Amino acid sequence: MNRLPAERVQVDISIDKQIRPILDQQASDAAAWTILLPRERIPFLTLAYGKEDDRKGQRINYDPLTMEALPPSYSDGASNFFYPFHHNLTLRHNNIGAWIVGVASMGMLCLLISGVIIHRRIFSEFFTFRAKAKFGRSNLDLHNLTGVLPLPFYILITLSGLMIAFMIYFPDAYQGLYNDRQPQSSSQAARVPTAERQFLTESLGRKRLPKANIPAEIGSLDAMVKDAEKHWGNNSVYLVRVNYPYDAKGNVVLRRTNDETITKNIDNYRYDAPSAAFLERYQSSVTVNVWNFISGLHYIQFKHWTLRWLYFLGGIAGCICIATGLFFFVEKRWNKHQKQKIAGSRLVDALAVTSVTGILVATAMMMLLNRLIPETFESKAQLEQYGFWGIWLLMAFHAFSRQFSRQERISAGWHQQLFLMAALSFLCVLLNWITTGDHLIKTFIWSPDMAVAGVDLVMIIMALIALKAGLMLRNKHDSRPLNKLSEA
Amino acid sequence: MRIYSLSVLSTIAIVFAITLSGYWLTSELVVLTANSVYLLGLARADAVMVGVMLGFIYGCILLLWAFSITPIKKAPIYLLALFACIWVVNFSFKAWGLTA
Repeated sequence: MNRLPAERVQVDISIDKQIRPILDQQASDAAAWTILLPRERIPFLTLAYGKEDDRKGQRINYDPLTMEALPPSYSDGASNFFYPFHHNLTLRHNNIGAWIVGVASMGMLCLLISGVIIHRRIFSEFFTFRAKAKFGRSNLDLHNLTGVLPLPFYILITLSGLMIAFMIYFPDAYQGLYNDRQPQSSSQAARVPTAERQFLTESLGRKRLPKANIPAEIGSLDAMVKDAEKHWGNNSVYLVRVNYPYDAKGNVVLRRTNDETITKNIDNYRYDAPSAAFLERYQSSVTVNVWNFISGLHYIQFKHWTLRWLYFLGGIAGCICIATGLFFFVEKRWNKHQKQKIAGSRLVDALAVTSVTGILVATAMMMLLNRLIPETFESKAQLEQYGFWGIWLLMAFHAFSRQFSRQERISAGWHQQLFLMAALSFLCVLLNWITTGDHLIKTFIWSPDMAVAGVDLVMIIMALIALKAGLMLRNKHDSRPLNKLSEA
Repeated sequence: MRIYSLSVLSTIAIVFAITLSGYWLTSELVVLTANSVYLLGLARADAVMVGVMLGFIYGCILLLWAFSITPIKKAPIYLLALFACIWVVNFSFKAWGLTA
């Protein structure tokens, strides 16, 4: 990954003098140039360009101080693996992954609302956690506490996640109101907008103007940015897209950052490329802004570290709620299923181990591979992902094998995978220090880099919690033979 | 040791049927809402947005209702009957040229 300190965001860059020469040299015949200016989250400059069918095919990052190209990152890391994994499981064919996530999210939404309805003592559960009670009692208290306290967060994150992907889930909505126009001839076919394109143009301002095929010069991009920032405020433009550079009908679209607002900002200014004259301004309607606000609450692009940490804690509470809920589910059915000789609770327990601790081990392993595989290795991303899926599969085998040779009340799979996770997390922090020279004292005190320090610190805390939970589960397990348990 | 039972399989089949018919009904309700608010004067893009944003709430309410029906095996039938009714209304909107 490209790791540049965040203070480079403050650098003043002249697009005309520093960026255009690079694009002229590398991509004068491209269908579009995309310039992403450095900002707090991404402190480097990104230039992307390509032909009509792949407008961002080439993507190069630059150090905004020296304007030197940064070495390419061969790792997909968090942005290109974990981020798509969370909304489509990286199963992109026919949006299968997005549909699986959508069904699960809808199920979760129903659970959250029905949970509120059936809980008569919902307010008392805010304040009830008997940590020193018997394992079953404290586990249920923890489940209720983590289920009730962040409830608004769960509803918000689930509903907004679904709403963001509405074009996948409800294609009939826009196809019903925007009829696909039938082209009169084959030459017209490429120019007739589909229902989806018409809807995107009207609702989100994603318009594509035709080119003239007549050569022309490009006006001052700096002047366009300056003009837009007169309305939006200083340093508010983060994206400059030049459609059809060096064409008489080329146009430039400017978009602003979301740093200061919760609402996802999709407003844009459009300029004529040759003359730098203002063409039009797109502003979302009030209704679209409601959707932008809901999406913004999910994307968390705003600059507010306290809120970001609250989101993080809400997410962790959700994981605890699911894990303790699965424990409770198995506990409640265990004796009954043993008597009836049904494997239901064993199956659920094995799946719970795989999906709670298994995925954590796989994630830690991916981070470990990220440190072990050299930065210059071209297949780094594939190897990291094979590592993630492979280890997760291995954890599933481990969880099932522990279940079906199991003699204890609580599967040994839980504490064994927790110990493995703790070890891998410590190793990640150690390897990061060895391979980059970044250790906590350096990233916290000597030359503060909170992004790196935050990851290291969270890994250490997670490792300690995993160690503690693993020891607790190992000590709590009931070693009576199963036939005695079923008689209990 | 058995890893499945007939009752579990039939429960899974009913849940699947409720989910699918619930989705179809929700989709039709979304289109109906979008068409209706468009006819009431909202812009086309806004009408779609209102429809889809309400759609997830519709879906949630419908699923909660469907899973509370007893006997539960009747739920997919109710959902499909409602789907047919709304589909006819939406089809009429289109046939009469009331949509955009």
